[in-house]
Amino acid sequence: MRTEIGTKVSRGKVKNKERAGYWFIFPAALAMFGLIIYPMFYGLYLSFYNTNLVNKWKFVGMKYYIQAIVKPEFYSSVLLTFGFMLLVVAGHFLFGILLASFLNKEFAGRTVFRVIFMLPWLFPESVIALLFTWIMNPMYGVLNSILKDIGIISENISWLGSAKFAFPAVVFACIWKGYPLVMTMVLSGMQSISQDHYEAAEIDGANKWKQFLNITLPGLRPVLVTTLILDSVWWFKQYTLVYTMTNGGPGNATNLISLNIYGTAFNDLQFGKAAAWGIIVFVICYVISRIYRMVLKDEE
Amino acid sequence: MLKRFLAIVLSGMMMVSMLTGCAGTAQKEDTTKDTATDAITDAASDTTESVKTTEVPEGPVTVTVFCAYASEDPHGQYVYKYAENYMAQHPNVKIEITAISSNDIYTKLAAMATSPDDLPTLFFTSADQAPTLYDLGMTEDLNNWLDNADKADFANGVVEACTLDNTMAFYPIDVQPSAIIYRQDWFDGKNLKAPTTWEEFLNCAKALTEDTNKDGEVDRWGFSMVGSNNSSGQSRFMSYLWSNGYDLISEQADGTWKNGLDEDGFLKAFSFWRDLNNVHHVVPNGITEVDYATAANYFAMEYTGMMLSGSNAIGVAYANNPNLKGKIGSFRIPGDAPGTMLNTEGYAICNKASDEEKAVAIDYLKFFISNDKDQMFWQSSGKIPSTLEGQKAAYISGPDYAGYLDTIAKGCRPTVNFAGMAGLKTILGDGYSSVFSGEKTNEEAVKKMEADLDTLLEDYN
Repeated sequence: MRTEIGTKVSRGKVKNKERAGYWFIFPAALAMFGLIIYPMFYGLYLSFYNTNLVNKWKFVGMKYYIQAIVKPEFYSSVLLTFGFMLLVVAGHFLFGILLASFLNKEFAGRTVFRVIFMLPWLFPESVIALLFTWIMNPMYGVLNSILKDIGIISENISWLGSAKFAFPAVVFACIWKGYPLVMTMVLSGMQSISQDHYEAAEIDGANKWKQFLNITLPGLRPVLVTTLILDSVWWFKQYTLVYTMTNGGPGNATNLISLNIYGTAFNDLQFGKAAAWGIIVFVICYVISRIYRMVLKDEE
Repeated sequence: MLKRFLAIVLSGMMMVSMLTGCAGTAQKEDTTKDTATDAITDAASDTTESVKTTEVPEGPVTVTVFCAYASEDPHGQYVYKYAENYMAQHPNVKIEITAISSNDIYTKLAAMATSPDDLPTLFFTSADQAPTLYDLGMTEDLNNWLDNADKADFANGVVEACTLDNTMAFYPIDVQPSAIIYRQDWFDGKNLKAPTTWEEFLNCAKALTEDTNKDGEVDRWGFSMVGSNNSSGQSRFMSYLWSNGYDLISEQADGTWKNGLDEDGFLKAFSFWRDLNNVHHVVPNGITEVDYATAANYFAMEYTGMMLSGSNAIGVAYANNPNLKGKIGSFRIPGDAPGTMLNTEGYAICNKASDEEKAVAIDYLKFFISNDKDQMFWQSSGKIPSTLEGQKAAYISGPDYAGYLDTIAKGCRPTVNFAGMAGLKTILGDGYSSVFSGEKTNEEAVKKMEADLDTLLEDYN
């Protein structure tokens, strides 16, 4: 009898504790519901309507989803965004790892270089976009002026106004803006690898390249995977830099999916269509994150 | 277990949202119909009943304004000044002005529509945005507040330009039809005459394009084209197409809209615009990067000789280069058909405001257009007043404004009451941008524009 009462009391205590726990998470849960869950479901709801959000609510069912699959407007923009993300992330890793290897060596003024190479990360994206827009201006840009002076081009080129050059130009600016994150992460990863491994490898006769392949890269793997996820997601949803530099143009040369969705909603005022595209992009991002998580799980 | 629970909850939420969505639709469409019917009834009854009183009430009244003029230089200051003058005469009235970009007004209003108490009493609109704002069902029919004597103050065609479906959707402050401004002194120097066709225009542009300092590079261009893919560039391209006789879209007898991009000769007209840049090189380099401000500055800095624009470009030119006074002329857009709407701008009154607020708003707007004898708001901006009296002002009597007044006198296109105008403009912008950059051929671009317009019209038919 005593035992039963004791059990009931302890269960009651547990329940009270659980209740207290729920109360603790309630504000955060409410905020998450208001700021994430509700807008997501409202977006899903909108995607089935041709609406101006005020007085026109025409149910169109799956029309905008079917359009996204049937018409090239959507998927060509998604493919362009994937291409953009791959090039930018690859650029970040190439320059980030090279510079991190350089900064990991002992030399005079290393701290100064570390600060200098970090600078692009510290500037706001809009500032960098305007900076490159001015550098590449077809009338008075310094890039054309330099290239003409050294005889590479004979007349000014419209870097951001040409279908051939706009995409590489934007990718270049984005690589310049984003490599410091990879550089910093890789540098911190390199510093955590014990020197004993390198000394042992040297005794075994491994050259620098083999040391890099067999010690540095495996040692950096957890850092690289985390950085890869962060960087990929960050640049997949890139908006500010590209919008300020080209506004998605010329034509569709730099029309990333984030710009496309924004333009469809707030320029063309087709909120339902934009919501449907947003939902599809959400699914794509979810699939990417699942793939990354599977890779990470294998690592563990 | 948790997954199953989540799946059930989410499915439930989706079903509920779909069902409520459907119910909401029916209800909302009914409400829209009712509102529309009411509006038509009100407009019809206006002919027999007198308008509402616009006497300013004695109690405190606050009028809030979403104003696109206020953020612009150099005329934005006068918006505040006129409001202060009005408040000095009416101490019980408070006018609160929020400066806002005209492109942001729609989205702000749409976002605020769910809480009508927060909506502004007045909001800026222009002729090409008015149908979209009218489509929101937020604009008060000013026929309820303005009698025939009030309307008679406005210049010819102005009230019609503000009227959509017999509803006077906004109060006109200025008109800005498009025309071509040009360097009269350069034309005289080369014995050129104001062109009346686009072929003649091209010849003038070729004559003005030259290497003035003989360093082997062109440094002056005939035409200050706005080639950026934004509203400014798109509107000008639309004007060019209109002047060639292409309506782009037309309303059918059953109220549906028809795609007009497949008409004969459209490809040729489209190609001509592209060739100004890609073949004849009579426009500055990097044309897709040239927005309105850049093009107006090129003209002011004497890099270019002609510009298709509203008269506000004259204000920009004089403000940046006072030496241009006496050197600028203007002429009608070449082509056989009118290439511009009257492009009236002004303020719409929100129909959610109280009658007191509406009465004060109307009184304030009447004050706005009549309180300044020197017309400094209009003169400094280069805009043309909307009133008969205003259009007698000395500053618009010279050759610089002659083309604009000629355009008004010969008649402009009626306001296009198509709520999807922004989408149509995007299609046009994507079209010319893709051929300027070499991404597409003329044929490919026109084909894509036709297909995109068909898709857009599905949503509005």
